[in-house]
Amino acid sequence: MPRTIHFALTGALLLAACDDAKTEAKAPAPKAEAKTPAKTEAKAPEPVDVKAPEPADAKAPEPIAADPAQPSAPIAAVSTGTCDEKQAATSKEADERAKPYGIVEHLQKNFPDMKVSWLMKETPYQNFVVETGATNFGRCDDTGCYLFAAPTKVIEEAVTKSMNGDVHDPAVIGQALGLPAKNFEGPLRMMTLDLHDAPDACVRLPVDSDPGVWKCQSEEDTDCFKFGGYTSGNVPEVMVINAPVDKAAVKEIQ
Amino acid sequence: MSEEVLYRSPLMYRVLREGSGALVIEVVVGGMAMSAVRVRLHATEADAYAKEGSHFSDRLAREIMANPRFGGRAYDAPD
Repeated sequence: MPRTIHFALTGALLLAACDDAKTEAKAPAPKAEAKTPAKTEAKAPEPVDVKAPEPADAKAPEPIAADPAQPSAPIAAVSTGTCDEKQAATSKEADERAKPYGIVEHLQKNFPDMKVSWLMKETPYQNFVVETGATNFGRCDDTGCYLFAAPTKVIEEAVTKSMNGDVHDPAVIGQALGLPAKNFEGPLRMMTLDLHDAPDACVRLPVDSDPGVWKCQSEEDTDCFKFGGYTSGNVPEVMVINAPVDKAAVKEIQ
Repeated sequence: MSEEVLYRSPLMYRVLREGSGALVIEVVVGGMAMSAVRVRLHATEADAYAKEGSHFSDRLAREIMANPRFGGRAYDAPD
């Protein structure tokens, strides 16, 4: 049975459990056609205050204080979306392991606007998203499609900083994201998904058993998976299960 | 060099036959920054693929995702 947890901040921090996240999600609006990605452009991300990443085992985020002087302040919400029994159980285990941190605190701290982004080299994007007519991003098995994603603001800033005219500098993106420059050589695609538009997707902390996890082979490895919601380069990350292709904006990066 | 796609998996990997006849597996690796690497199958691995099909290639792909250098056997897929 799907389980949804929705957290809303309405001046004071309220916590509520409900059965249907769709009731509070914005109406989905298609942003990109997977088969015509070259003609799509991501909207410029809205400014958000993503604090500098900290290790996951750091102290729990400070509670968000309500401002009684502004009771009608706009609603800011984070949601873990719709997680089936398997994903809910995995998320619960991950939160237990990360205590006193957890996915909700992680989203509030690093993904307050619920916008996630990720990058792919152009050729794999064409081979595994466009040519397959994929409906969800990520690595799919019988239990879902698994996608690592970072805050849009972080990816957008790395890309913007790397641009030299119309062409990106892979070394600059690599340095900004704590990954080898060669991961960013050649044309790229930047995908952006507003999770408010994808209420059926599930969001949780990534775990070691997730498809695509690069297991550290030695202490010297710096580009492998480390549990806790941050990459080895200290970039916040989440696992999104069943991120719909037709709700994502796709941007070409030369 | 021409190559034939023998199998494309939703796990984001492909099994290819190169013009030389050699089998190659191409696997998407990485987290929020994804790229692809290739590994040329040894004869024993090619035999296992012939016998087990995607059951074998799924296992091999997961091993490569978990260890993209794959003991030095992996090389970058062409852009």
